[in-house]
Amino acid sequence: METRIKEKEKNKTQWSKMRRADLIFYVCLIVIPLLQFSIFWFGSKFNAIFLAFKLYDENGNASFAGFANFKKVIDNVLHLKNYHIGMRNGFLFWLLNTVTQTPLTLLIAYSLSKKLPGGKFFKVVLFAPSLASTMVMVVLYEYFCEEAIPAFMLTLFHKKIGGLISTPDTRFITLWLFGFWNGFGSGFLMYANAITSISDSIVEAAEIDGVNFVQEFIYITFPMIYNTFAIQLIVSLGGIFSTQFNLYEFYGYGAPTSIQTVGYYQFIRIFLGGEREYPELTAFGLMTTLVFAPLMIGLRKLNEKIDPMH
Amino acid sequence: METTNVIKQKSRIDVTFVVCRVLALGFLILYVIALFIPVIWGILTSFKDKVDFYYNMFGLPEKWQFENYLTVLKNFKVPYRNSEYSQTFNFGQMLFNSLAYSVTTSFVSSASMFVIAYATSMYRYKFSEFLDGFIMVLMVLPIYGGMASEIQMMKAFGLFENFFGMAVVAKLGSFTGLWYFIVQNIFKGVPKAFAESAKLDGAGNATVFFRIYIPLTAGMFATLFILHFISAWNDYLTPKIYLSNFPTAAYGLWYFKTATTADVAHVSVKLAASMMLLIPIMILFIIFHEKLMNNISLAEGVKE
Repeated sequence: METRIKEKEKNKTQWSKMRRADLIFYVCLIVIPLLQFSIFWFGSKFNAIFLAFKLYDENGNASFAGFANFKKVIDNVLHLKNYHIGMRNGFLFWLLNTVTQTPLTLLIAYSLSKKLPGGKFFKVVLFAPSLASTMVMVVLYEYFCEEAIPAFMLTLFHKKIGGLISTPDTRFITLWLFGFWNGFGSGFLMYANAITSISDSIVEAAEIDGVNFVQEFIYITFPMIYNTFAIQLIVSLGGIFSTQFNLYEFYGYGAPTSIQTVGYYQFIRIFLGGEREYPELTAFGLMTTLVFAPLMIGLRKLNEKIDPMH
Repeated sequence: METTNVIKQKSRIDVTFVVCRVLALGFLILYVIALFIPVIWGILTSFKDKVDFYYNMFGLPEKWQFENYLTVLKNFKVPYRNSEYSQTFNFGQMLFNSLAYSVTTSFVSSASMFVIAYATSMYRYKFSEFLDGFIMVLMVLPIYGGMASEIQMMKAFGLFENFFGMAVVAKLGSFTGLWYFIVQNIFKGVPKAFAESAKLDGAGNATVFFRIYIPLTAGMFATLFILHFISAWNDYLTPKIYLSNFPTAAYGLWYFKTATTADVAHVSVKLAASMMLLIPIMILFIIFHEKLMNNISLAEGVKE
């Protein structure tokens, strides 16, 4: 009896030692990355909150500004043309991407999962643009649109047109097409990965039951990748206020006002305006977060309710 | 009657299938053409002189102008100036900077991701579950207006325009994002029998991590490293904002694109510069495309 009690205590001590060793190792693994993340991620967010309540003078001296920056943001959003145009353009870019790119990537990803001829080659080609630097693709695309296409139109159709990016009438759609041309592959990869995770046995069972190509997509494939689709849609909505849509790569600081987005406008103000602009820009960011964060959370909750897999 | 209905239904199925596949195939062929034509045009144009370019925009170069690439090598420069000194970086220096920056940031980011993903997948404390949820929320929750604050923080900590600061310290916390969950799943996919057998033989936690899990998941680490490398190689914005005293080739291309001196203002020279940045990545892709394209699977290796 005593031996058994001693053995139990010995096991208990050994078990505590092991659990302590596990905990110590766990802490050693996570401490440095978490410390860095805590300082720089949380730190920069807290700093952003303080920054939004500051005001800098010409000499770089900061003072407490109360809610002045937030009032200025509201005033600018309501009255400044840059914000109206920026929000309109951001929304249009998002809408065009959602209406065209999303259905096409779904169709292509689904078709390629069904062993389309040349499937492997197409997958490699779709993946390739994501490897090249955006700057390289911008240079290629810009000169092709500005030089090659007008020369092509003149040679073949004897029609004189200006560069597609320098001409105001074609500028917006040309720049939007760049995003489509350069970014289609990454959208495709996301859905392709989601589709490959669907169990073959589910698909085979459905085929035995006689579903056709379209029925399989509607009743099996789409419901199973719905979460990926919904998250991608929700996250892309947030890009209306933050994405530049490659304007900085094309124009540097000089994009025409008619094509600017809010993200681009904010970005160039950071560099052209310097530290004096930081408080107002940060205040805008905080207000946008306060609006969009609950919206995103709400959309996610709604998504969970309508997710066909729940 | 039933046989006719089955035949009719089968015909409908075939038409739907064929129509969708034809549409998909048609779009893919158009997309491939739309992708290849500007790239091929860009390569051919990079070898043309001014006259050849204007009178022969779509044909092969009359005379292959390798001088365009030499012009790029001579003029691909980025100036840097601060209150203490000024310096001009040439192509070779920027290429070295790109290599150093890409290798360092890739290794640190990948290692950080691996370490955290391993810790949270193997040790399911409450904090691990909290971290999973937090990273998931971060992926979806939009946080705006952080750049100005980040720049201030980097300056305050002395990491701004500091290679060690930006390539190492700033990347130590790079474990968030979708890859965190992918790497976590890879670790969870390793049979626990490996670790249990090792512990029975007296191995500690560190031995299990470094001598069992790391070798088994080395392929995944390599893939992550390559993807981070490509991303860092192509990134011009981070070096432009935070490391302008250490310009990379991608930043140099952004700067070169806006150059207006007579030597380099021409389209052919600008395209030659782009090709010089595109070629190393394409070579990397050709060598590693199978690894990058395929799903990672672990070879079973239980001791026999």
